[in-house]
Amino acid sequence: MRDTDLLKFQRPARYLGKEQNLEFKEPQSKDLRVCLCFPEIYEVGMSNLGFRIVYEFFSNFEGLSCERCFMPAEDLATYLQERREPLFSLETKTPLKDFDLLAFSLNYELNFINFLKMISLGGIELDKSKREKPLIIVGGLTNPEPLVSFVDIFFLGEFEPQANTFIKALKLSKSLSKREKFSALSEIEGVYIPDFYCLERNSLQPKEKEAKFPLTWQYYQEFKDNFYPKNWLIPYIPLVFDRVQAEVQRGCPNSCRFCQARCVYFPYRQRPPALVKKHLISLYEKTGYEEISLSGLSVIDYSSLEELLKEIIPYFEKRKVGILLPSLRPQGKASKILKLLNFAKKTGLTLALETANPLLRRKIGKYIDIDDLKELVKLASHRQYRVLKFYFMIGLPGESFEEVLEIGSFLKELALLYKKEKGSYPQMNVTISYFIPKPFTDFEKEKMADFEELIKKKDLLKKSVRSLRFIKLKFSNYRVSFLEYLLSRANRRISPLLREVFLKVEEGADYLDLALWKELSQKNNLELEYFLEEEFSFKSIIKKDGKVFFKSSV
Amino acid sequence: MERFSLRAVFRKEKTMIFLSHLDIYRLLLRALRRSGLPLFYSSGFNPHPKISMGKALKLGQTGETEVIFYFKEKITPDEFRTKFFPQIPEDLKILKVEELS
Repeated sequence: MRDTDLLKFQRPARYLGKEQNLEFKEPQSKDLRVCLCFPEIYEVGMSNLGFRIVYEFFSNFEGLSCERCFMPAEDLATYLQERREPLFSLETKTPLKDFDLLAFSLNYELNFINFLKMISLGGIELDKSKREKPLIIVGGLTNPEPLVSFVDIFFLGEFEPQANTFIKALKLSKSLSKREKFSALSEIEGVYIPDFYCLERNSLQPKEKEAKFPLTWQYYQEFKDNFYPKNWLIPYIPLVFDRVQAEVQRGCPNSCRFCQARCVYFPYRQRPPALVKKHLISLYEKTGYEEISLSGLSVIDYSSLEELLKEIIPYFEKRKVGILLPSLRPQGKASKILKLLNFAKKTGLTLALETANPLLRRKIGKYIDIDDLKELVKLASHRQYRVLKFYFMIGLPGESFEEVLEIGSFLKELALLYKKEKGSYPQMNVTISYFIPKPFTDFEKEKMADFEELIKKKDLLKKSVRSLRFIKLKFSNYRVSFLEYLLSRANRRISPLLREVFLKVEEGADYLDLALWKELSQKNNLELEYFLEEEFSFKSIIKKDGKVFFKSSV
Repeated sequence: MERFSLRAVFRKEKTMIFLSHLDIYRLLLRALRRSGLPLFYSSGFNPHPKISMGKALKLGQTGETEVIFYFKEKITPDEFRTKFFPQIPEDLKILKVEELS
């Protein structure tokens, strides 16, 4: 595709690949040609810090050429499909099928379909056993099994500690056969080659002599004093998360029992504030971005948050740069932190409370300081924050109907507090998601609440807040939650089913149509329930190095 | 607050034609922030470096447009050239820079 052809599509700058700060090396004939892929559109993919970190490693590596590709928007996807033209990389517009290696960042089960779509649009055979090239690698998943039919190699855990060893081995194995590549790469910690294992009585067992058992899950021990993506590409179009980000911590010091991220990014590591400050200032000087943000799980718990903010506020205030924090957990000092940020852009207040009932909150291990929460709401009223955002979950283990209804009365209480200060009600945007028991967490053996129960709870809650005009409820899509539940725990027998679903979707079916999943599953003599009832856990074949393992609640 | 201004004429070519008027605006603001020049910020709820842009160029077309830059100190066209030019893509050509009286 020529550049000028791109003008036929919405927001053509998505496919331009010539951002400022890009230091693209034209591929040389001996180079390993790599394309980093992300199964969402450019604006989402380029917002992802993990993708940028991986890109930094590949693009700086000598003797290989690294390009990018994102899920094309519908107009381009349809155009390519109709003309049977292959999906291409941004930098040189090379068809995906012509690369040596495609490396996908995949962190969400519902993106599996986009992943398959990108491969298929790229002119590549889906079935990995029928293709020699390109090698397809995926990182970021907690349960890789649904993709074993399509993916050659998975990388488990955080990429940084093995990045250079891994990339070097990929480069050296360029001219080897696929089987030889597998042998060579299987030596590297964090590499999982699904072909080397088989499913026996619902657990994975080594099949080939090179198969590592157990596998190790990587985490970045030197996180505190090291790497960050320095060469921040500046997009020409607005991103969904449009700011430079500096990581203050990895992992989370809390022990919410439902939270998968906490387990996957265990152990908790912090970066010293002086280093974060250095990163932020250098990112700003390199990009001129009008907003910066601190990134990490539960940033409010970063021990030096106050110190860091006091250090950076004068610099960024002078330059009229907004400082943003992700959602706050009221835990004692949140209101104090919010006071510090008074100069910054008024972006509203986001609070993840999960449930309104204190007992249930304790059961799920979520600790909220109610005084701090009330202080935050008062502060919001003085600051003219008109919109307060809340996150709750329903369908938690052992949750009663009464406990769900408490969400309404709890919000009302907070709204009255706000009104007392300000004279009017705030607008409350409340997102309710359905609890999904995720592998690796304390709740991994729980079942997701069934459809009838969830819908009943949903309707009751809706009815209970109907008279409270200031509350706007938004519920997750049940079908999305169910598929997330299914795919996060299914064993590898679901992989062929995923392929069949994809083929039906290509013919016009709806990916979220659960009846379609059931029907195709039964066609293969499997009930969907099989995947939910069998207690398969990918976790059972991995360990973190040494004594450190995924920590259960404290 | 006293302010000084420069007028520049830009030409959008090749890769830059994929950018909308607003994209160019954002690109110029970020380039200004990187340039180290003494910026004059707009007042109000959401302060940002102040510039005024001339007629919008349609996405997909080459063409010229005029931009006025504001500073809190006097900047000569030469200073502007040395500090600002390296910050913008080469397909955004600056054809002319002059002081505004």
